[in-house]
Amino acid sequence: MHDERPLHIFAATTDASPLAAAREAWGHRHLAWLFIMRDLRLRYKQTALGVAWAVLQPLATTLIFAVIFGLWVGIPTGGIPYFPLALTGITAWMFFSGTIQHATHSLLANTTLITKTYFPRATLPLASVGLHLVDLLITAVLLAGALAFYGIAVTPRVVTLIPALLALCCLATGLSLIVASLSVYYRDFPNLIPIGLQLLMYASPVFYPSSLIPPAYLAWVRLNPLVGIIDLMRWSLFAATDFPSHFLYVSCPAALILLFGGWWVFHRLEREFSDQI
Amino acid sequence: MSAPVSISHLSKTYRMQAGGAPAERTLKSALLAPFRRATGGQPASRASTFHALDDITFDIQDGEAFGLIGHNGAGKTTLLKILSRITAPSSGQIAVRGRVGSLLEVGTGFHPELSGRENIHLAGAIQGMTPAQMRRHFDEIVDFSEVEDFLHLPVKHYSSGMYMKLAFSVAAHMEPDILLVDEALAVGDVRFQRKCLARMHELVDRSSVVVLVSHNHESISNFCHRAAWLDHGRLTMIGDAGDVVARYLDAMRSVKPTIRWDGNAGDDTLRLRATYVRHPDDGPLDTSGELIIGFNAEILQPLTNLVAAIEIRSERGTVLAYSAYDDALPPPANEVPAGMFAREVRIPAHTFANGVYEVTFDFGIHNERRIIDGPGTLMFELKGTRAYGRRFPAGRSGIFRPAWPWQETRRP
Repeated sequence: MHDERPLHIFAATTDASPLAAAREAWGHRHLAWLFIMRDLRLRYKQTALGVAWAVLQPLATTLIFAVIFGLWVGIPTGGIPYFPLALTGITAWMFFSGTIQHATHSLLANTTLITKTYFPRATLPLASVGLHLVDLLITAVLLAGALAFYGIAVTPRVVTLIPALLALCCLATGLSLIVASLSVYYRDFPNLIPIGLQLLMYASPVFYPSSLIPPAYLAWVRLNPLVGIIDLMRWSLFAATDFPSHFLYVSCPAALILLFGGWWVFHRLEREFSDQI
Repeated sequence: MSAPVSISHLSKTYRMQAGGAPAERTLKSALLAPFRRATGGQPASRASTFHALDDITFDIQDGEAFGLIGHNGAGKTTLLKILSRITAPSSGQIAVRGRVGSLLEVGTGFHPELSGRENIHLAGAIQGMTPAQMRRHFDEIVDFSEVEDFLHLPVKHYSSGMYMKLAFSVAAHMEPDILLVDEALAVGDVRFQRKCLARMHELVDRSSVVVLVSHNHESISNFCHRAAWLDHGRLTMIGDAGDVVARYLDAMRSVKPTIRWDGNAGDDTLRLRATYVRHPDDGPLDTSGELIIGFNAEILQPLTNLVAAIEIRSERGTVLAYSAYDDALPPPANEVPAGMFAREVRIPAHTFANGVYEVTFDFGIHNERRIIDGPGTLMFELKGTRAYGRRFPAGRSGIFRPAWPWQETRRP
């Protein structure tokens, strides 16, 4: 007799393949979506300004940078207005750092769920990425407004924003999976994240253009995959620089390696989460 | 066709450090596990292991309501957690055919700030409902839960009864092939409990499997076809639910509630000899008789600030009372001389309701150290009697069974 019910074998020595786990997580994408909706609702609940915060946060950060580095320090930007230049970097950075910070706590903050029910655990850090994609879209609208305000014309180059953002998403997803699972094992880990992120922010051209990096260090600085991503975003919007080829040979491979490596690490550690957390 | 639930040689061990805390499995060992398996190496470890489940093998058939009984820590919940894939087995395997729904704790996945409606969607998805199933069952869930008028309110404003009703409704409507239920029958009022039971019967009639863990022996013997009795992680007995429950209760009663300690409990200041629970005339324990709980120890050097106390728990694990040897007023001298140290306490008749109880003993030096950390647990059963009360329903509610004197009053 044929039985349509799926058979699950759960044993100490066998494991689903990372691919099967990915397929299962994909089958639960609506759950990730509900986690995103939950966090969006909770984030702005009982705040007077509500969703306006999603605009105010990047706007305020960029204004502060614009005053300090644009007006006072007078960072040379090669003719690009400082505000949209910094906002481009901040758009990428706030998405990246927000995702990583949220993902760090994504499993720890849902301990009861993990110890009392089964669902693909990856939906939690993946929802962190999704949540900040929503913010990214809102910031992108702000960026479009800034470009219009400064009269910067959009050229066909703008399509290269797509690979830049894809690489950024892969990078953030892979790292999210890693930091989320490591935080379950090492409780010191969540404390390290903000420090690491701060270092990374200064090492990335967030509030300064890459042209400021001393040529002697350039090769080393470009090993940071965020450099290629932010450079490509600026290249696609402002015509001032050469095409950042390091996006192709550093950022893309790094993003893919981290995405697949992150999935592998998460998958390896996942079955012990409920015992460790 | 294989059984929908097939458990073979299933074990679950936790590594414990010397102090009794669970040993953290290191990140490295978890990451490298597949490679180590290939090379056959074993990590050396000084930590001891605790067997939550020890070589369990049995099958559950289609349309079967299956009960799990055993005292606290017997491994029932661990088994449910493995069946629902929350935690992985240490050795052996389970094969599960079909979708598993689990209700290990009522209200899992609920967020207090979200509305009832939002929580139905979220909790349903967490427990594995697809969006299509949710659309199909949403109205049924709401109907079943009886909280329709409050769906727009955050569940933090719900009464605990409403909260649990909503939570059970979600779990009961996910069309699982296998439903795992832990302690969830105590949901809401009696009428709602009947509704839950009826719903579980419906699932069983549709040839789903229901696995029920309950401390309520009646619900196991009434609802389940077969049952398994777990004791310290081992399968003691499996068979007809009524038989298993009867044997389990027999064992609870026949365990002579005395433990003799052969000088292995204690340290160089105090040695425990015996702990016991008894009837004043060594008759059967019941609610209308006195209950004596005591211990017998040897003090090897004078002790001050000695703590020697008992803790009585209900079978569900709720602490009902804690009582120390020097609770009298005025308290006795704070110094206990070397020599024999035997104390017992008489608990008056008509204190606790009928049921199974656990007593643990606590010995130590106040604010300093523990001499003996939970030496064994004594279990005893108090039988119900018709000693008082004109109407005496079998299940009189409450954990106490006081014989309080009622009086006529002339107060307006």
